[in-house]
Amino acid sequence: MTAPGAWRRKAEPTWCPGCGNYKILDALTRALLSLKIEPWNVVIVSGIGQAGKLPHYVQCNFLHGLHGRALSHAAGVKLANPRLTVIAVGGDGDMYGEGGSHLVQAFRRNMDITCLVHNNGVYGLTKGQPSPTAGQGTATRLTPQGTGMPPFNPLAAGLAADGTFIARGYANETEQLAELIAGAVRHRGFGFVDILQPCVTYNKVHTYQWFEERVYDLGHEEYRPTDRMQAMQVALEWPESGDDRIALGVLYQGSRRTHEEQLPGLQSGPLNEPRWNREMLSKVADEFC
Amino acid sequence: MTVVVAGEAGQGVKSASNALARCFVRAGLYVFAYPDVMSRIRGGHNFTRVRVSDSPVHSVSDRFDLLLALDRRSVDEHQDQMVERGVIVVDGRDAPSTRRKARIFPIPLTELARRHGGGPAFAGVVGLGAIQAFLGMDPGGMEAHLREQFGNKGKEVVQQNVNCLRAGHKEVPERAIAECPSALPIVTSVRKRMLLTGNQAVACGALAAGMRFYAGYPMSPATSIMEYLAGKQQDFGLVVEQTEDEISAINTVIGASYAGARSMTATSGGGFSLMVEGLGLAAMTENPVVIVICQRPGPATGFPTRTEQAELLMCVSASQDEFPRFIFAPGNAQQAFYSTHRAFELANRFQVPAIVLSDQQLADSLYTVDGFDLDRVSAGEDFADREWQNRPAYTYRRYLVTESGVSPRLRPGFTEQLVCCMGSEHDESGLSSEDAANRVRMHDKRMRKMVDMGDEFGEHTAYPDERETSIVVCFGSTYGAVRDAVGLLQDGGKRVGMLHLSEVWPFPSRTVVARLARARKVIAVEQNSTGQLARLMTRMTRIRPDEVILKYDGRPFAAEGLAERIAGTYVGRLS
Repeated sequence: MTAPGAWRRKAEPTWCPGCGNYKILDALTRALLSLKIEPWNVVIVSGIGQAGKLPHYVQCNFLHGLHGRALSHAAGVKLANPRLTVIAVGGDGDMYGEGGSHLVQAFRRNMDITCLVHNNGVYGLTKGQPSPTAGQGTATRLTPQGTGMPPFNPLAAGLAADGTFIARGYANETEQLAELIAGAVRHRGFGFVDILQPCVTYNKVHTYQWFEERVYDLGHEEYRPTDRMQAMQVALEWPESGDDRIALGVLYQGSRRTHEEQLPGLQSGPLNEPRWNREMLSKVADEFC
Repeated sequence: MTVVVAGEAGQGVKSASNALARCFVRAGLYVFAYPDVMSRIRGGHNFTRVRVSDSPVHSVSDRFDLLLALDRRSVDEHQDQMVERGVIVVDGRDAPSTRRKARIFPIPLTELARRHGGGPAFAGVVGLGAIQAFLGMDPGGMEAHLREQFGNKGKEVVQQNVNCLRAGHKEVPERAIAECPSALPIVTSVRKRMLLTGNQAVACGALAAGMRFYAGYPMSPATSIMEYLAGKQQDFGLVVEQTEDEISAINTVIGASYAGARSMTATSGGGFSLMVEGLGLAAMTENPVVIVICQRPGPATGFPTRTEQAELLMCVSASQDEFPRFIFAPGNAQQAFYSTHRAFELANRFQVPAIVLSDQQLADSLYTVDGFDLDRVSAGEDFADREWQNRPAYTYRRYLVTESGVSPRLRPGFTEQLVCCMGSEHDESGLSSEDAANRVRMHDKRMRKMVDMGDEFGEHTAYPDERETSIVVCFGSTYGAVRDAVGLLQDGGKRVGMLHLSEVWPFPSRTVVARLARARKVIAVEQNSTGQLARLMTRMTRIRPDEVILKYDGRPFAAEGLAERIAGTYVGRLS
């Protein structure tokens, strides 16, 4: 698996021309190539939405499940076979709206899976409603007077929930994004990357130009991603809350035992083989006598 | 006979009644014990009926022979249910001044518990000692049980228990015992039998099927399945995951199943309602899952700790669109073990969801079981990995259209093939497709499984045989009460039999038609308010029951009352 493009499945993406998703797909396949893993050992799990379509275009295993539930599917896959590389992909509606409670628990659970969120502030597949990360005041057909809530801050939420790898990428900084994704996959624990993705059809505020004018690379600053308080400060920066700049890079990386490392049932290998032990079963039956 | 332990939540009703039941079974007797509990942690009124006999018992009785009342309210609630000269053992300070037909036997339960070192929490153990005396039980059995139960809490605690037990025993004079009409039957040959709840039997069935993954969210009355399995993680190499909600539980189970683990979840109706979209995903992606539903009454929260059978029709059609599924409805702990095992086998063979429909009565009751026949259970081969090992990479199609509708199944990461599962309509390779002809082809492929599934399905119990004039049809946990009621009616010379279905969907139409062909009268007995099995049977076989006996107050049928209601319909007499 050395040829570039080998990770692309021969299926034509159905995204709009110019969509940030193409760049994310490009970054993901570059990251997978750099990781030197085999496609049959990778499972991409996705929910529903434009981002959820991503596994169709990547040459590896996939489970394309339900809206909001990708992290639950991913946990099941990883627990059944921890040897697989598991990547959960979804949009902001998928991961922060419908699946919000799963995300909070995923940070806490710290399984060795990767979570990529295509964050464009809007529901694309249902044509333009505000997502949990839509800017306050965003006017849509559903919210003619503008949304009345501030956007959800996934990075701050991840830090509050004891996440161990919290990063933000930007679709158009594809090279950096590929590195962030590879870093998240290599991270031993829950690797979370919020990916700013311009939606050329529905989001007229957060355009390529708007992002270009504001993003900066944490890697170029004096920044230690091991300081959780500092990470929280950076996570709270957002143009609409006063700081007119957006940090890209790894905000925080900590280390803590993964969930699967602590499970007694996994010590004897993966679970994907029915195990039948007559002696054990008769012992169990005897416990009721 | 029926021995009852009653008191407030937190007074040890459950451990005292479990101890009695265990000792009875070890003495060679048969037990059926049903806990009637309120949805609270302390206070209220809980009672467990322990029915015991020298021949198999399957259900509760509403007539009590002996009552250990741990509070005053227990006397007030139950004294009218006592048999003639039945004995109520009660703390001296709680003894009522007026006497009715039951004989009140006051003992200073709390005082003795305090004096023998245990404190008021041991009052139940003192009471057990007295009950033992009235029943003429050998005290050694109970002492051995207490040693097992409390051994890990240290010698002192064991000794306090034993002392309290003996103190209670001593309080009952020979004269009082002689006047008590209740004595345990004498058993000459003692056979080793199991005593376990339906939930424990379900958990054992899952272990016997090679289950390796369980995810769930606590919900009465299903939680004890998860708790039991959690204690077996190390021994059986399995993972029990408590998820943030039921939606996550089913979707995590689907993920584990996709990766190749035999997987299960259990919940009650409310939790299942949350899982329904996931049920559809399991069907659409053809990843087998086993879902245990411990039914309880009411929509929304209903009666959390009580019993009903009103989710049959929901299970038949849960989720949008149409797809094949299995529904099991075991009648007791023995059936629950084999049904759960079979649910795994069949779910995996056909790559469909299987539902095990239990309820609070089956979940929580203690059943006497002769034993599990381990020769009858095994874990079959689910995957075609070996066959695909040496084929060219990327040639596998997860949803290959076959005559049976079942496609070869691979695990991701075992071969150089890619396993692509898809919840949207898809083509054979698992990629999304909006093509009309493909949609029909894939839908037909999934639905075609129903043919072989139906052939495989329909385990049932006919008792005593099919020549009876009237047949009572039932499913699930009503097995016990119907079985005992039919026994009572047979003893009274009535020609009535039963047909119990422990496998209800795909509906076993051929079996039902054959079994009911000669019946002059068909009576359905169900714990719901509209006769769901009766309606399903009519829809599938055109057989309409002549009578439908229903109960939906959250309490299980008792044999005597049910027998009266069956007899109240026309029942053929022996000529």
